[in-house]
Amino acid sequence: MAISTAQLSPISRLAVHNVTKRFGDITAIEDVSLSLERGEIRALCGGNGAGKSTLVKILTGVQAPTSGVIAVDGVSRAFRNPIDAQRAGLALVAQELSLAPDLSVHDNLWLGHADAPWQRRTAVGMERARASLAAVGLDNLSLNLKIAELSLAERQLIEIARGLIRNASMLILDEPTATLSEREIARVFDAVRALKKSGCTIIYITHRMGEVYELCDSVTVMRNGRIITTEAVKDIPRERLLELMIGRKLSDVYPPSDTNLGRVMLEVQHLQVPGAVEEFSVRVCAGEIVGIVGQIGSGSIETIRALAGLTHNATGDVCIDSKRLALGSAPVAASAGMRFVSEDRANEGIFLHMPARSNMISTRLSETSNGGFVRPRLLNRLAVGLARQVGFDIDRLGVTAGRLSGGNQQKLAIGRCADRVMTGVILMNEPTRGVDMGARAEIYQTLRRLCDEGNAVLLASTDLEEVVGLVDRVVTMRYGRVAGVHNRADASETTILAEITNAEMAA
Amino acid sequence: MTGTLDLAAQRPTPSAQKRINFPSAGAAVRLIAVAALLALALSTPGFLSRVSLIALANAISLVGCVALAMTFLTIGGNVMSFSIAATTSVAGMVFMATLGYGLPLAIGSSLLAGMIISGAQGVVIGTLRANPLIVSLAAYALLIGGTQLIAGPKIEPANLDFQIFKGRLYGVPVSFVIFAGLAVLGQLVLTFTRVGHELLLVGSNSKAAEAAGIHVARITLFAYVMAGAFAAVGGILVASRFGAADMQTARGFEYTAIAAVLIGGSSIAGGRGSLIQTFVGMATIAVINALTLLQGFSMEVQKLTIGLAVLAVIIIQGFGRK
Amino acid sequence: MGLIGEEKKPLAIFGVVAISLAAALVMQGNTSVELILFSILQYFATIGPVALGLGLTMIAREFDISVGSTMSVAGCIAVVASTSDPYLGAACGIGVGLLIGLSQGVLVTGLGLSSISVSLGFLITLAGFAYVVTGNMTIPLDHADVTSAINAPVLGIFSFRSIFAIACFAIASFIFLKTRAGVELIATGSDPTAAATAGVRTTRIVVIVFMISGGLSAAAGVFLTYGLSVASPSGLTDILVPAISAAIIGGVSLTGGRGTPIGIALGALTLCLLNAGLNALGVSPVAQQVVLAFVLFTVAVAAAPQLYRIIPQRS
Repeated sequence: MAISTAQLSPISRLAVHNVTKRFGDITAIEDVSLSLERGEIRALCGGNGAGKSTLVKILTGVQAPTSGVIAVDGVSRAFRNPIDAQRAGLALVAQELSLAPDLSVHDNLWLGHADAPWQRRTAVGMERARASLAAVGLDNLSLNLKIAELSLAERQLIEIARGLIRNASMLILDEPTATLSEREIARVFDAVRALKKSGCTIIYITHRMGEVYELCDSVTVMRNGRIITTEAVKDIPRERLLELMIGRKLSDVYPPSDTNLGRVMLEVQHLQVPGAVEEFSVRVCAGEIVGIVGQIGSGSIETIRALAGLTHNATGDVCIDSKRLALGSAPVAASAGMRFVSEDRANEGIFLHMPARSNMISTRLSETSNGGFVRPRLLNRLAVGLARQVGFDIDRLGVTAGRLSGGNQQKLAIGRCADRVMTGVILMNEPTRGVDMGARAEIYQTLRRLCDEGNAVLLASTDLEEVVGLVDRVVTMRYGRVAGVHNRADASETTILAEITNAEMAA
Repeated sequence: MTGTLDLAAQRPTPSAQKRINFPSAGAAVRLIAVAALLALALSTPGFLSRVSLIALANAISLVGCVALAMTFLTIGGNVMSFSIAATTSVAGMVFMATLGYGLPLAIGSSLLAGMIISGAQGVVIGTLRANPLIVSLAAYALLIGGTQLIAGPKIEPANLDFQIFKGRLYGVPVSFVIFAGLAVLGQLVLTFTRVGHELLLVGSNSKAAEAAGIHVARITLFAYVMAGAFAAVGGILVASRFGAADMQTARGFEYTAIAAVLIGGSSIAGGRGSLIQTFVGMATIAVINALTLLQGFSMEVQKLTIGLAVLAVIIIQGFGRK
Repeated sequence: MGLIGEEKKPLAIFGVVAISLAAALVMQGNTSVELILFSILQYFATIGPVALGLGLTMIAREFDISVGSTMSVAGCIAVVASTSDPYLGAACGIGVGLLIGLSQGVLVTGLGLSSISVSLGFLITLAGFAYVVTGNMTIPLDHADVTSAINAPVLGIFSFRSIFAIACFAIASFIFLKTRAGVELIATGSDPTAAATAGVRTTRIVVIVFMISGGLSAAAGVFLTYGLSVASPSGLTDILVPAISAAIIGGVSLTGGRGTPIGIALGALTLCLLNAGLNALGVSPVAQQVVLAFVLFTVAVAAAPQLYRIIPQRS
């Protein structure tokens, strides 16, 4: 049974009424309404690009809604900045942590507090800092340590403690466990349950089914910027929730794999990146998609970057199409056949201020120029051809890339790898981060087509579902090492999750 | 919002034209400013006289070469160079010092000097990603001090071969012909060569360019070598105009140069702009200068006006992005 | 905290330079220690406040390259406005500096512009403004008493100017180490998005930092001009070289978030000692400029993000 918003109780703790947010032509969220009670833990689910983070930014005063109202205890509020939201009792525990690495634990706890004293340190302030640390189970942590010296789990808990020091009664936790081991997750859960007991209202953003059922009272599912449903957790079966989140059957999203494997395109032995990758070996054939899965800090992202030549101190034996590749230089790797698609699309993946056309041909200038001179007609023809291949609207090739949606931007980044004279290895990090479901399906199909052209694909992703659905083989990583290798047939989300989080032997 | 720099690659299909060519606020303001400037110029008595136009052409060609040089650095993502005018001066001194060995050799060694001085900075900036402003500032101090130590304050030429740069070609000053020729030549390089395209990509986002497999260090070096060569041409013209070379004449050219680049509409963040735009920017500055003089204002007001124009352009660019 | 962590390197550099200077002086048999210290502090009074202002903007991950022009504009305005009252002139000069900083800060934060482009625009505009204010002439200050008072030795080695500079650093250090504002400044420079998410009003911080930078440069310019007793509109980048050098030698990071006022003070003092040492050795001003250029060049290379390309680093 659906809990219809704002009608069950006349005055709810936190209510969102018909909030819409637009950025230019793009609608990030549309007509979103929510209502939360005191002591409720509400799961907020939805894939990438569902609009969760926009909603969070509006709730915390980072962005103003285009239209709609937020009400706390029945009083409507307009948050002009994060301080307003803080004063209303809302606190965010951000996924990309909002801690300053150069500052101490104490300074970070008080950072941005609306009513912090003017002095850096006061006796009372230190006392409260210790109390809030104790409340999240960090009793023994020194207040003088710099954040840079702490583990990810400790930082996550400090974020929660910061909410407590502000007397926040409504906390938004944005995937707080995404980077944690199981034991660390248990610590976070304990802290969250304690908060609930003390009357806090909690919005818990997650894409892990297990957490919804273990921790939360109710669940709201978002997709494509809209709320699909809000229900009590006990009323909704798992399969149904999964379907609602994805919005279609899994088989529609992922293209079938027809494994016609060719020769070995990429052979990696004993890859090492100081501080990130201890030992990594893999062999990828033409026509094959291999996925590396690991949590943040496992070395999966760094492995891909090292192979793309972007890590100067990487070592190891790498052969591409049976030819040895010297690591440490991106141009060298590129000319040997490595095609890299970055995880950081805005800063590294594409040229935001350039037209889509220039982006499309940015890696292809060598094949469209003759003796150092470019051939404009050839460039244009190539750009149009690539756009058609990846399903990019050719009428929009003149549009500045920064104005395109995440999905279209990613199509540009992948499109420039397609249709090459020389086959090679596509290296991708987080292939569909910030990409909506529709564009995802097209990107997955493009990847398959790249394989059929005789390329090999090696990608790293933290999206388990994507990996299980898309790839032919899964390599799991933990602490910079390969933890296991599975064929598509015998890889399930649960086994992989267990493998990459099995951290009980952590020192 | 600014003119297209890469005509072939950016020519939109007819249907796309409607979608992307919204007249942005920045472009509209710039259009109005240019129209107002032209109206003012045409209504100012004496502006269109032959003498006045030749004076105008003369005034912009020397610092104009330096502005063209600066354009390579700005669109390549290196903001500006504090040392470019000093490079110009040194190249001029080399020109005058070697003029005794014949004009071709003097020109060659001057160009070489400019390319080496600027290219050395390009190596440090491109390879190590050192901050371009700080490196150029150090180079500026080094050049000013070093030349003083090695060559003294002034170099007199051995003969009068340099006079050909002071002449006229069909009534047009030779220096202006060279300036305009450089602008066209440089623009052709940017538009039709692979390095030109890569320079714009590197300027737009050097990290993305690196990830795309572009030799960022080499491209940056190319930009600095080109800048050095263009600055050296400016140095030859400056030295020829004044019949002797020193470190003082071109002092401060770097500010007029970056002003011309920005007024022309190239983005200070890199990746967008062209030498033709800088040419227009330089002409705009010259018109502003001529107008302030003809309207009876002092030299000092000129400097202030140019500064305000630069500031206005930067602010308009900011609004345009919003 | 403070002195032990971040300032280790600047302190070491300062120590080496100080010892070399002392050695050079002893070998030369130079005994007028008081005079040398006085001249070191006089130079410190010129570059110190400017380096502090610039350094603070760098800690906030901004870059104010207009400090040189602000300095000369403020000096010119102060002299022009001081015909009746030198205090009024000084107030005008410093007020204009604060106003310059305010406008730059508002433009940078309000329009999301890069601080380099905004301060470059100001640099050019202010240079022109200085010429307009003075009418492109060198204007003498009519108050000989002010000039002598501002340069008069206090306690042997200090003067009004150097005491002002030291006071600036002391106040800045207190704010930086002991108040919430200092914490918010570091957080803003360290990671602006994170700081804003945490609730720091980063906009306000950046505007204030630009105002401090403008105000300090202006004050340095006013007092220098009063001390020289003439105002001249030239002198654009000449202060930038030592100011940037001082900030980076003092441990300020080009990527923001790192550096302290004490570090900047040490950086500035290092340059002053170097200057004094070269003077004592009889090195010509031109050669000194070359040395300073080499220092800045070394600093730029040492701070380069891809230094590992020439020097293998420990991981």
